[in-house]
Amino acid sequence: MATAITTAAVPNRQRALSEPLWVKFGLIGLALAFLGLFLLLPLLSVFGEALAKGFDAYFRALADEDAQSAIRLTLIVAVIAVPLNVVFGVTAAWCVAKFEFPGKSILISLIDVPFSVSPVISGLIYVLLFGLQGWLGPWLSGHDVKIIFAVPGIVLATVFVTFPFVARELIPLMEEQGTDEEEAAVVLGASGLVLFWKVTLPNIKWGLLYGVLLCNARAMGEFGAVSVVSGHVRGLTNTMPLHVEILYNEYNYVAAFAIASVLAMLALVTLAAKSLLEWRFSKEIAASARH
Amino acid sequence: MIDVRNVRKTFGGFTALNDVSLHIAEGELVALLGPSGSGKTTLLRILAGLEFPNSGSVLFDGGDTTHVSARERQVGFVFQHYALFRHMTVFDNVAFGLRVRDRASRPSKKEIAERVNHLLSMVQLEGVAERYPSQLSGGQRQRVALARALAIEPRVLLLDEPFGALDARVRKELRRWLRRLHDELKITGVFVTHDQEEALEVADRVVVMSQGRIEQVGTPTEIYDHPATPFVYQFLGNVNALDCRIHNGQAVIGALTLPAPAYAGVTDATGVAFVRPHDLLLSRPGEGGGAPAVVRHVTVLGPLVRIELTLGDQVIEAETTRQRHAELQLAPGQRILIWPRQARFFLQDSWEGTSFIAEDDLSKTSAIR
Amino acid sequence: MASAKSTVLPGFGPTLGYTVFYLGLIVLIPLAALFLRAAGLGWDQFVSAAFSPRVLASYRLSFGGALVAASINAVTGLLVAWVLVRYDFPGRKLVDAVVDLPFALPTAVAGIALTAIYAPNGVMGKLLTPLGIKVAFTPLGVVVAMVFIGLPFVVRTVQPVLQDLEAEHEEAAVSLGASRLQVFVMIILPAIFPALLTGFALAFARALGEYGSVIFIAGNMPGISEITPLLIVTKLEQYDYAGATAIAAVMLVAAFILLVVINTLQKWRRARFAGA
Repeated sequence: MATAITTAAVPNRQRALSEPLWVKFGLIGLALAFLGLFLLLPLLSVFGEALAKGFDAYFRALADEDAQSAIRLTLIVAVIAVPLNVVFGVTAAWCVAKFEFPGKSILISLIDVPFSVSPVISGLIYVLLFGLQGWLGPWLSGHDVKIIFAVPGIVLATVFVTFPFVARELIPLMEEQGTDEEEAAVVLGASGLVLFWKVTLPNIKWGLLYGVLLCNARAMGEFGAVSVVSGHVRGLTNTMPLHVEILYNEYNYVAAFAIASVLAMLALVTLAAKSLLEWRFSKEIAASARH
Repeated sequence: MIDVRNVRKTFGGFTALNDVSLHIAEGELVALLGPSGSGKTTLLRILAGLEFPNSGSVLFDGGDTTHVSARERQVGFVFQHYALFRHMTVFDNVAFGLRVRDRASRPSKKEIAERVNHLLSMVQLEGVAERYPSQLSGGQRQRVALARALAIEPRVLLLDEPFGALDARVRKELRRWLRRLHDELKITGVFVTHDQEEALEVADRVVVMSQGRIEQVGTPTEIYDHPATPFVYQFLGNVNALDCRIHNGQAVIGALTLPAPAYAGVTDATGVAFVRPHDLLLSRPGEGGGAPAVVRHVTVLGPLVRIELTLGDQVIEAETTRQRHAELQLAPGQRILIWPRQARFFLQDSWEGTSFIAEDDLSKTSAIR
Repeated sequence: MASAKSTVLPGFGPTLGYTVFYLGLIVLIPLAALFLRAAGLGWDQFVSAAFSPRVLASYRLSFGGALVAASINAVTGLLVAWVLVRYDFPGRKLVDAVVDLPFALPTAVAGIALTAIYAPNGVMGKLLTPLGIKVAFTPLGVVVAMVFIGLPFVVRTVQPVLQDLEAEHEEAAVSLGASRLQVFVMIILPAIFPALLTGFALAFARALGEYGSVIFIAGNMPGISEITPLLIVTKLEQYDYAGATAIAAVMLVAAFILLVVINTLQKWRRARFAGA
């Protein structure tokens, strides 16, 4: 996810350089019309369809048992995947940003892999590994361990798809901040963890929060990868996005959009928090925008 | 050729130009000189049509061009950082102004090529036509920018600190080269600079500006020898600004009293006296006239000697030749007499001043104490 | 300011070790499994799985649709970026933030929303059907979904470049007699072209692999409106691991080529406009 640049409109574009007023209004109108059609309309329709049969139907859909377990599963997956990826992100950023070593660029490219791979393939690779006909399939079923078509598989696929977010935010940020402060702390006698906790962490806290925000949004909303590894068993292996799909395919539109609306609200909260962080702490997180 | 009348320009709450009027004659090379914030660049950009004044008017050859856009004004503009189009070759850059003309007035490809090549040889850059700006040095880039501006045969050439981004040696070369080019082409030119040496060396006339106002307009010699205001005095060359008391037609600077007949009616007013270091005559007590001063510090700078003196409770700087220094045998603590060849007095907060010019024979001067 | 990397700081070994371990476990091993499986197919089987008529039709739709969508995004993304950078209007900051919606919104939500809108009885569907335009359940619907998903890419890559454009170049062009349109075409467009191209490539890559947003609005009819990722899922459901792997391998190679192209474009973008 690229960092939105909170741009200030160039305030003093002189009259000498400006388009005629009608061109300006025309372009603004066109842009807003396009955005209205492609962004606003879908967003509004989620809520419109969810409330098509009134608030009662809406809340009933959300209170439904399967819906509740889908929500629970989504939260569990996020609660596991996000911290795991935070630990990875911080670790990877530390070793990439503060040290020089051969093969560093390969490492960085590897971190970008989930972004270039289709979500379906992200799920496929785990099926190939842990599925019944996968490498480890026979061994796993022999030991009665279920990964694919069970919660662990979902967690794994989610971890794959979301692990770059925190790392990609922190690496350029920590590279930009350099090693001066940490070196000074070492000279003063600080040990590893103390060093990190007291010196590095305060400097990266807003970038970290930003990365966690993006990671979480993606973890809760991931569909393609999770769809491949889940067994689509209602009440057991369905996250919210998957449940939306099931309800939609059963023509249960109100319920599908009801759950979708919860996800949409999550997206809006993420966007709002993202904008807030960018606006207040742009310098502390802006390093990644330089890519 | 260009008339600026009572132009006023504000940016938000800041007044960049405050009632500025100026006339620029055909074929002149005029320098707008002043510190940053003086409004010189704003004035230049208004001449170009890149800014528009809040009030006042600009006339080109008598025609009102105040609100004419830069596109229609037919001016050539050279920027401090060249503003060459990076994705175009030198040739394409110079040809740009000719190529964007509409069908009717556009020259043929052959004509464009001829013109561009002629211009490139005029700025002594034949052979780089196919290179890109990033492959040229700073001085070369600026010459391309100049060729590009000249390609459209502008009525006037406007340059915004054209040599500001270059290092000292290149700056000096290009300065002289610009002057020669101007003489050859006989084009009207206005350039902005904060470097007084540049203005004095290159321009036919200098417009000294400060805080949105014109302080003085004149030839380089005029403004150097006869600065009209305290600001001009202090901006150009070294000067001593001394506190003085003006009373009954006399200016008293410590032990030094000089006649100021213009202020005959003034009683007990404070003022400022400006004396250039090289306008101070030094002599040994008993051998000449003047007020007593004590040498504090002597610095030899190549062919000149700079002497720091105390006159009463004020510090004054004098400049003299090595020869004179050898004659006087100046050393710290030594007492000598000083007398100004020329001085200018201003009543406090006044723009109008009066001058004092010494007569040749020091012995004829009066009021020496 | 980044300083020279030090060997004084602790933790290099453990962090590198953990990073490599994590990457190996999560990325390398699974990817290796895929490629080994694909390699183990044998050439004939690979070709028949990866290039059968139905699969080829899906490539045409996925690649072709992504190309069209990315092109649309190139134009509209430039428009949106221009308007956000150059003009001020009420709500500009809000619009700026909302551009990222396709990034934040879960793909399944986008998928069903778009379908609801463009289905014959949907808001847009009702407008378009009388005109004879069918969007939902046709390749056109696929393109619409791909446009949605790629929307922010061009905007976000072009915005900073537009922001940093120096007014002096435009002023120079104007003083030389260029009209506003000439300034845009001859001066501004060449300057932002590398960023535009990068945004295009990113939008293309994303649209290519997209599943959730597209799957609902596509008709999913074999040979007509089936996207490649769907084919992979279909094969998996049929336990045709070989088929799924072959197609996935083709997509991965395409993604890899795109990645190289994008990286080269970004290097070109940085190198091109040094100095002057």
